[in-house]
Amino acid sequence: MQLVSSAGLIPTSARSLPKLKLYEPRTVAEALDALGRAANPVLLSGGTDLVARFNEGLSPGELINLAHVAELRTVSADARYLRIGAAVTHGAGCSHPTVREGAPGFAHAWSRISNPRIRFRATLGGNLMALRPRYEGALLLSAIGAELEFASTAGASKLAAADLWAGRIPPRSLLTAITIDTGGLAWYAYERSMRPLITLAACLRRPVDGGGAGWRLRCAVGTEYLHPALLELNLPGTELREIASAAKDIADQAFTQLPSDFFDPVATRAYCVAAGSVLLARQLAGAERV
Amino acid sequence: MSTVASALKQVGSSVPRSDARAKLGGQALYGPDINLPGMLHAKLLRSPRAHARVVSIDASAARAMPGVRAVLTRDDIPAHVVPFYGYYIKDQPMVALDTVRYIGDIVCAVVAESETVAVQALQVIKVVYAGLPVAASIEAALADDFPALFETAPAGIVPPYGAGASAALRPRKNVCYEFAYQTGSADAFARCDHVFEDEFRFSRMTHYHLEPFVSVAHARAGQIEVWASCQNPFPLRKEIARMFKRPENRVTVHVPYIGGGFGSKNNVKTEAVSVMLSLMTGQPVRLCLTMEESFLTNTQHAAILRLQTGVMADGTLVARDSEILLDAGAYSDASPLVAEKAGYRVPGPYRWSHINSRCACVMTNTAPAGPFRGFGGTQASWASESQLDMIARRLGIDPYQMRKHNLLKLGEPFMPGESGVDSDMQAGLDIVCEAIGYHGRQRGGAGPKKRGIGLAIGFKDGGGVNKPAQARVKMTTNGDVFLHCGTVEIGQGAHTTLAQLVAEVLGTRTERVSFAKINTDFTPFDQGTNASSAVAVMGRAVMRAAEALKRQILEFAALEMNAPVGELTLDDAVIVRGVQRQPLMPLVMRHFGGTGYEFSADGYFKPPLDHHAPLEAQCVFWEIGWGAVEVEVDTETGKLDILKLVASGDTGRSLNPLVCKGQEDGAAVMGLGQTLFERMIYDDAGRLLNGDPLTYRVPLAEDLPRDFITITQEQGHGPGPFGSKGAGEATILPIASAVANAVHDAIGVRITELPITPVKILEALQRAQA
Amino acid sequence: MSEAAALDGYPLQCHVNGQLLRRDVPIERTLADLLHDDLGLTGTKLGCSRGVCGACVTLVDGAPVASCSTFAFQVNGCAVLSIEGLASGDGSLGVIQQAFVARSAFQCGYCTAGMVLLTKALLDRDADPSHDTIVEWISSNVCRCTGYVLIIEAVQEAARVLRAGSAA
Repeated sequence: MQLVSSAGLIPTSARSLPKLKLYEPRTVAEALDALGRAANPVLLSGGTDLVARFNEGLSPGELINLAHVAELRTVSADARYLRIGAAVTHGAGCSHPTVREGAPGFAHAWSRISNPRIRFRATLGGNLMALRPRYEGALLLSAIGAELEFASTAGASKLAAADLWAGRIPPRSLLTAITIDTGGLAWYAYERSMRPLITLAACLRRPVDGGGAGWRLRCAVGTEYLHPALLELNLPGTELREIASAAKDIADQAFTQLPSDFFDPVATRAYCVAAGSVLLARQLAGAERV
Repeated sequence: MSTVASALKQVGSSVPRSDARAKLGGQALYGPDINLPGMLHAKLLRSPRAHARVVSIDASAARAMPGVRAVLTRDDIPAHVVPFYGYYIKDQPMVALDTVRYIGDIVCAVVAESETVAVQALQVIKVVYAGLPVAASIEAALADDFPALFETAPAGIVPPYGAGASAALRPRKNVCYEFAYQTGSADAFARCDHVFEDEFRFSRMTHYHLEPFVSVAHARAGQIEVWASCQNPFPLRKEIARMFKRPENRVTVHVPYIGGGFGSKNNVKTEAVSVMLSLMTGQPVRLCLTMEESFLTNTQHAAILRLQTGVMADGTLVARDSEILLDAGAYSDASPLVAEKAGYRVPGPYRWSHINSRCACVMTNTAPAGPFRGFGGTQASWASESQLDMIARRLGIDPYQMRKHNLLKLGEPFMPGESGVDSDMQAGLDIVCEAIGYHGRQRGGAGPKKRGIGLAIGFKDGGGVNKPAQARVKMTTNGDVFLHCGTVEIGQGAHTTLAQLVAEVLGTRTERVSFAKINTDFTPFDQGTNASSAVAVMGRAVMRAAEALKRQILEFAALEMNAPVGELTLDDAVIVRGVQRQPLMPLVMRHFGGTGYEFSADGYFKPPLDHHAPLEAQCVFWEIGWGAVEVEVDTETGKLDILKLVASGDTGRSLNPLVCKGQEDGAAVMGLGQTLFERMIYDDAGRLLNGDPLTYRVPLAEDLPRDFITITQEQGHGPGPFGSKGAGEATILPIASAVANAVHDAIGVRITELPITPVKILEALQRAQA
Repeated sequence: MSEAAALDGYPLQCHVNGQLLRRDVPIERTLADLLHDDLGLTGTKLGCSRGVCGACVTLVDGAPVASCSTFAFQVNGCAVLSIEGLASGDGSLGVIQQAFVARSAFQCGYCTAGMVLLTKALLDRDADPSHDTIVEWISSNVCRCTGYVLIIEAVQEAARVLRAGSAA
């Protein structure tokens, strides 16, 4: 349903779209060219969310179909970084050997989002750019500290996944890839047993660049209605079992960071702190088994 | 357990559904598939304001747009047309007149050559609103300082009631209808050892039928034809005739297959607008809503239920005073009828000395609430079965024993003047207790996760009130059979089970019985497909029609064969006399000539009027759902796992066991959704926060409990054919209270508001510890 | 860099239920509307029209997709299978459809085409799916009527029959 000025709600849908033009770029450069020339373009990747936006009133003039841009569907890795093309589908990405090798915990978490039907079509980039809190990509990537690479005619730029909602997405840009720093990555867990009420993803990393002992914990907490909140702690120790044995205290400490406005129509902040800290503590307590 | 003979060939077996071929092959036609030559497409502009005066509407730009064929605003309704519709109270206009009453209220409509043009035209309509105060909840609407939502009384009626029952229109501010029932003396409270007062809250679901609300209307040559996704075509015909001042025989309603309704597809929904626009254009008009619009069209009733219950120390129930407030939404729709049932059913299946029950329909600025599977019984059972459990625990009595002590016995009247209960409810309770291992159960647990088991017995009257049924059965020269009746196939399988009855009587196979398409010109009158009435009410008319047809055929054959009719039987269009088998066809050809003949007979059934019965006719049958649930509650997160769910109904006799199982599975899962997460969330400004198919959560296969069984009892006491009763609503009734009772059993805290979320559980635990 | 040209319409060429289709389609035409409105294949049902309920699922090169969420041009060069294409040449129902009939795994029928095609996609990939796998796949679509139990049983039965057939 679309709200049009003050007159009322209008039931727009894909069936009521006006005449569209289609661009079918083969390269990122061609896609950017189309983005620059089209008056009112929208990017089409998996398309699984786009239809919802039509129902919500989106009425573009041009579709830019990214299906033939091969570079958006590549997965690559070097010693430090895993790079996932934005148009890689959930199904292909989570089972890709490079992803499973570079970030096994994340790959497993990725395999659990959405459902088999959607996983055939929906892409990681589309999941992020839909900007819907209930979609899980941003939560998973915030916890692992991923960066989003954008291309635009003004040049390339990067954005932390955790800043997706901060409004710094470049205009007329194209999300090209998601990069994950695999350096020091020791542990990753995704807790979705209480979805959509509360979900959390957490990641532990060792310092890579000669930082010595200690851990970096990143935990992203999400709900049906709220974009993820990021909780971060530096922790002492060298063994995962040290984390595991102090799980309760660590989790309690992390959740003191939960923003004061972290509540929604279903979940109070007090609940998110109480339940979220338990869920995180349980995940951390199991960390040594990984 | 069955009391009927085992010689049945069609009834009692899971013959393939008669709609199987069409539905599995993709050939079944539903409302959205209707496509008439020259058909135009309508779209609606809906109110963005929860409550406002409509100051002005300027649709001139829309009217001038190429491709637009007509615009319907309040100024376009002809003087002779009555714009209002409703059940007891005619308060809902086809488009807004002076006021919009909820977000989503229909403001105006455009019909155009395509949906695209219709939507574009809606975008250039200008409407000026002047805001009015908003009541988004029962409490807000009843607040002392909140104004009346309807300044003048809409046209309305109160039907006659029997002993102890009464009702009033607009008894107080923002209550459109209040039903009351009383029996016994209030003095009974004085002799109670304890009187407990508890309040319960019931959240509202949306029906979430996958097929949208849709109609195609074609007005031409003085005749209005409507293809409607509608479960009561005859009342719809009557309403259209009344609104548009047409003779009823100038209105025809066709009903194709219906893609689910669960109560919502009763009476006018899209049809007033599509008919009006077809009258304005002279062309067929299709109005197909989106699912987002379904959320804004009809819902279940949210409710506040306050029960004051007096008991003896030994657990004997004595007296109950109950007040139920239903959130009727912006228009009355079926709210008065739901109020009757919620108010009447709240005593539950137990023996009482005194009942004083009131149920009020409170108008609010939210989507209109209407019929929903369970029809007041879900609300009543939630409160009643929760409170019974609470009282048992307060008295230190096992909730099973307390139920057993108070349950009505088989044949015992529900209330004075009412019919006897037609299930052995104790037997049913024992079945679910056995299946879940209630007795000797392990409660609690060592770690943070605690287990418990809860029981509940949902209870409602079934079969509708004072509902007539008519059917016609015809047999062709070849022995092919038609069944004509107004029962709509909405998924429940009634076209199959009714055909099985015909086949059984005529000694033929179910697949030879064709259910004639529903068309109000030809189909015998019916009040509607609701109240689980198809088998227990319509089934009896169908049986009588089939038996009359058989008699007619045998009498004809007796004359032709010069044999005593008593010696003849019918076996799939063959007349059997001892060892002689005489095909019917040659007899027909000999008598009627080469063009053949069609035997035809009618059947009729109606429960008698009875002023001694509280609702003016005794209940046709009692629809009872037993539930037993084992839960595990995580006391650290509030997470609630349903380890095992057992739901059971008594069909009396299952005409088609798999069809019955499907009904019981589906109703139980719908009840589980309501229990755990399904809820329309309104904010104080009347905005629906989850009014779309993704954020409004319905159960998926992954939401089924690991161990989920439904048990179909066939106790054989039903009034329908072969001891049958209705099915389809029983198992939605006990789920919520059984889960709340199980949570209480596990962790000692009580949740009195649906849905039972982890947030509420954890908060209740924290309160209990404080 | 070549300049991308914008298309006003699309010269679609694909196979629908085994038959070659050549047709110019508007860019904004969805696969659901192409099938249901243009080709008269009304077995493809529009439910939520936003990709959630799965009533409109068809198989595109064997993968289940919500046809409401797919533009017609996106199936260019693909093989599309709708419910009408599942019946064999003589019009009789296929194994999966028969299993749905045998287990009474439908009520109103509005989700049925999507559920059957989803089942085909599953069984084409996994001839002997576990109960959990079936539940995971069936959770892609919504059925408001059945409570899913009989659908899950129908998938199991179809898998059994298909395995028996391929073993024979």
